[in-house]
Amino acid sequence: MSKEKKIVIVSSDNEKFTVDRKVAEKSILIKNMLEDLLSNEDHNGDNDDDNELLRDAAAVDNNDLDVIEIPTPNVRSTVLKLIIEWCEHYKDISFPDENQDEDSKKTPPIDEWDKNFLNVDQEMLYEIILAANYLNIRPLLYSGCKMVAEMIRGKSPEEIRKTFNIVNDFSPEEEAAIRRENEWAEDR
Amino acid sequence: MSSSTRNERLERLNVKRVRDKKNLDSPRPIKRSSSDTLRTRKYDYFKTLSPPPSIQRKTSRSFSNLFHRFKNPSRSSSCSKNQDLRLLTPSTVVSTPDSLFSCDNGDDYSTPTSPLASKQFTFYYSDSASSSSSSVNEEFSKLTLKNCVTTDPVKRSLSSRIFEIPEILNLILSCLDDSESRIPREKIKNRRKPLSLRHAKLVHGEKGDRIWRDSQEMGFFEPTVKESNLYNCLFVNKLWYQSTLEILETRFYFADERKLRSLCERPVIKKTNSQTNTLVLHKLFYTEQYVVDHLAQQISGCLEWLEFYVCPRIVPSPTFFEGNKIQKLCIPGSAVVDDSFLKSVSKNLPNLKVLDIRACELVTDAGVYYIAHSCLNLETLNVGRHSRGELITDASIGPVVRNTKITTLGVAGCNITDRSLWQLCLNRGSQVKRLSLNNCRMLTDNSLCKILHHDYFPNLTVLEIRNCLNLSNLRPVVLFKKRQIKKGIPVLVEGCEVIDHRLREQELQIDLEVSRKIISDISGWINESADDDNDFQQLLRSR
Repeated sequence: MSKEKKIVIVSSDNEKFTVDRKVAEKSILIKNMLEDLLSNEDHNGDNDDDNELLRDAAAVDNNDLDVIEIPTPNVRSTVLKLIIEWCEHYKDISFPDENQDEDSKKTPPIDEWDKNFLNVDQEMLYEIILAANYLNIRPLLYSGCKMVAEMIRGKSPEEIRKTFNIVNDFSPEEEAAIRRENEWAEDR
Repeated sequence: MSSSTRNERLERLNVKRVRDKKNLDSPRPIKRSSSDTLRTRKYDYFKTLSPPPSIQRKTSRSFSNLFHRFKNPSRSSSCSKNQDLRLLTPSTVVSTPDSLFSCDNGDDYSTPTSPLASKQFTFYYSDSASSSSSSVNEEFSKLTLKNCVTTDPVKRSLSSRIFEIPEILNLILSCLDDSESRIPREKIKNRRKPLSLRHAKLVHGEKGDRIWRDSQEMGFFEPTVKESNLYNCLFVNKLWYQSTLEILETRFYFADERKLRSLCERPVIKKTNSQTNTLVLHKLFYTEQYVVDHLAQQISGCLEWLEFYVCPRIVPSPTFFEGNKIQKLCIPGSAVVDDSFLKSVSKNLPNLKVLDIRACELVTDAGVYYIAHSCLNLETLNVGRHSRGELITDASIGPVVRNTKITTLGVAGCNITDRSLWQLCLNRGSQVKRLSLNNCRMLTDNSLCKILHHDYFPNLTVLEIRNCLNLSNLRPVVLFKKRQIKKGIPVLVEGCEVIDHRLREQELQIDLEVSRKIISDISGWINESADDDNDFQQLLRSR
């Protein structure tokens, strides 16, 4: 259908971001959503609640019918802004088959641009990862996970727990058993 | 264990200190000192916002798996207690040190926000630290424990929720998996070692001395000591343990017999489907067959790469072939691999792409013949050997090159003749990439040299012809080299002293011919142009 549609993504705190469809479709969630929307309804959006919002957004754009609004109820605007920045940067790059998990795990070390992009404080990094997971943006999710993996590298279990605020739920006996059973993995 | 208790103590001290300061911003322990109102709010938040059912289900399942693993009687009491604890209401929980760690994230969301529960926060750490005799305190400390863990997610909802979603955790940990670079393997060499100092000088010129010295040192990959990353992740918490173990178990590699035994001594977990895709045993000279058989029962099914590198006493058990997914089978240097083993390989692994049975001297034409007729996708075959070369002849190599998709063939030291090479050329000519013919003393000028002369191996990049002393006319080899370089294909020809000497002579001769031709061309041109000049001079004069 009309590829010229503008997409409005709404954050949890109701901030609106207008982007090209190409940018929004970096998120597989949104991509699938759009495909469903556009195949089901004949762009005469008068039939559900969202269209109230849609009309609001549309009024700004002077273009009633070519705006689709997508709410992302668990992504804050500060995070969403970064995510969209990422999508803008990669809008012209198509990633290899996003369904093949095995291969994607072997992707080369993290891209330099992503590294700088994700050079944010821990909380923000977590939120980006969660949002990328929710919006299904695999390459961003991988990059984020690689960043976290770098933070784990070289740390002792206790340091890992401290860094990430994780509770140790092992009893000393369990821990000893793990040590005993996994001796073979000591150098991994 | 000692380190963990020390850390606990440290943490407790920390709690006390921070509680005094009433600092609300510092990590986990401080939360417990926060005001009641704040706490209540958090509880409400949690009741309404429990994680999605899928996640809850996943975590609790993995935990029960974990408990299942700990079947050892010495531990069973604490385990069952742990599980029982989850059924008790907070006020009836009995205090034991074990239960400090007994909380199960998934099950405690419904804990009521009673005043009792809120008080517990103040007792938790300090009590267990001083091992107070007060039963009231003990009871309270018990209760707190559960709540401590359950309240944590409230704060973690912002900080580390990603570590509670198994999919994301798994992704993070697999990013940490660098086993690709840790698997012990043969050192990748640009060139083979020179055979003597003189040879080194012949091949490398000035640098020959140094290269010869270097080559006298250890030629194999020495695993550098790397920090343990995944291993440390095992101890973080139960979810991490589960996830890390899954990743660790996708690839097994051992260069140390003790570690292999330690793996085999684990209680056998009957798994419906093993995730292991790689097993590499590297130079385990003393490992016996029963160890391998035992291992096979645990990890067969998904294997894609099976390698026993110079493990002379063992042969892969048939159980490994279950699943029929193995594509790379390397058993160089085994003293027990024989034709009957290859027969079972040919029956079970029709998708085999790489077969390396170098220096398996029991293998004869018969074994290779089975392979040639069953493993039709074979791309790499190496049957090179230092002795018993008479056991591999045209009779088996012929069918291999006719039936399979061979691109790399190693027949060093085998008794193949010109016939096999011509068959290779006719069947696979343009696909052949690497060819090792070292010590094939029966080869003559009638095969390789003619084939190269006609450019029938256009994509060949590595050619090894050490000690093929019957090759006397090496001019086509030199021309082939020059041709490939011109085409931009990197090419490596490995010879011995004699062969390299002959190659060098040919190169010189060809260079001489070329320069002679250049000189004759130039002199011809000069003479001609002199004529032209004269003509031009005359022309000028004539004007």
